[in-house]
Amino acid sequence: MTLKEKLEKLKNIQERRSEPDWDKYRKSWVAAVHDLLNTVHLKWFNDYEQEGLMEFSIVPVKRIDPYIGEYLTAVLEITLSNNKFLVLEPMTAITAEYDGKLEFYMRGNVYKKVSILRKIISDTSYEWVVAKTQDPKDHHKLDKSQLEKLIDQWLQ
Amino acid sequence: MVTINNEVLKEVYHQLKTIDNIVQKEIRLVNGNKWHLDKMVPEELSKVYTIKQKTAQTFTDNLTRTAYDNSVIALVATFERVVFAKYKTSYGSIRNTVMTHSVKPLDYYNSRAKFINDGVEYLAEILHLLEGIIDDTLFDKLRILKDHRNYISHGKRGAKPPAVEFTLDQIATTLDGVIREIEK
Repeated sequence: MTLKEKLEKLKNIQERRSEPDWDKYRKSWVAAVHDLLNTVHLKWFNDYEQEGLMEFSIVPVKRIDPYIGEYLTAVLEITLSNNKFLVLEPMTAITAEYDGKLEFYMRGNVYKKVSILRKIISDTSYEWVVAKTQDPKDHHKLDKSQLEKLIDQWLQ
Repeated sequence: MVTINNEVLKEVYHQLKTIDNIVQKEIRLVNGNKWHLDKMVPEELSKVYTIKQKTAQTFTDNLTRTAYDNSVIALVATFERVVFAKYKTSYGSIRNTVMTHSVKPLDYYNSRAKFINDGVEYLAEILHLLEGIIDDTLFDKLRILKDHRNYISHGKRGAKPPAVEFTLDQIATTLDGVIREIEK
């Protein structure tokens, strides 16, 4: 083993031992949720709002999660006609397999629900994944068309 | 509905599915008529959650979540009851076998029964017994369920919830599958 390899090994051991910076993690989770809610509201579904087909409201909520403690975040509620409500709600910043979870669901119907999961790619980037079941084959990168497809199915 | 072989687990699973069925049927009625919730709740809560349709539906959404969380705990607790009973029986049998069939000369001969560990008290220790013995996929699912149960029941300290929740059918099937593996 070369000196460089030994030094790298030492560094890896150190990194494995050190606790993640949970304060940083909490801030990044809150910011990521905020960005997602804004993207859905102001970018993807803005046309529907302009045409009076959807109404949006942001409801502040407090969450308590393992490791990161208490924090403030928000729920996005989408009101459709005929007393139908869609909700994009942060559930937990810590999950097995992924790095935080929201649920997107139709109020009053437990089976019309999907998980929106954050996948951290690097220190500065992440992506959102939409998952209907545990099966990884059912996990897809989240985009506008995925959400539209879901709403379309739920309204049938 | 799925087929569950273990009788104890099957009965609890059927009861929980029935509760879920009742809850979902009632909730469907609230979706079109918030006042239906007043018929569901205790008298003291009448008109508390029926100010707006959205408030009523938020209440029923949370009711569904609480029912689900309770079902996870009930199914895992039933599973624990079954596997710990089996563990105790196996412990007794193995201990007797060692006491009866180990022969001198053997170091620690008089302490031989203590080599059999009867200190297993937690589900995590049962997982340790099963690791590498049962199918890897089944084992991973059991580990996820244990973490999920801990997340719900231990005040969300330490344990991580699964990214996507298992359905009641999946939970019952997984736990039943582990019991079958233990019984092999």
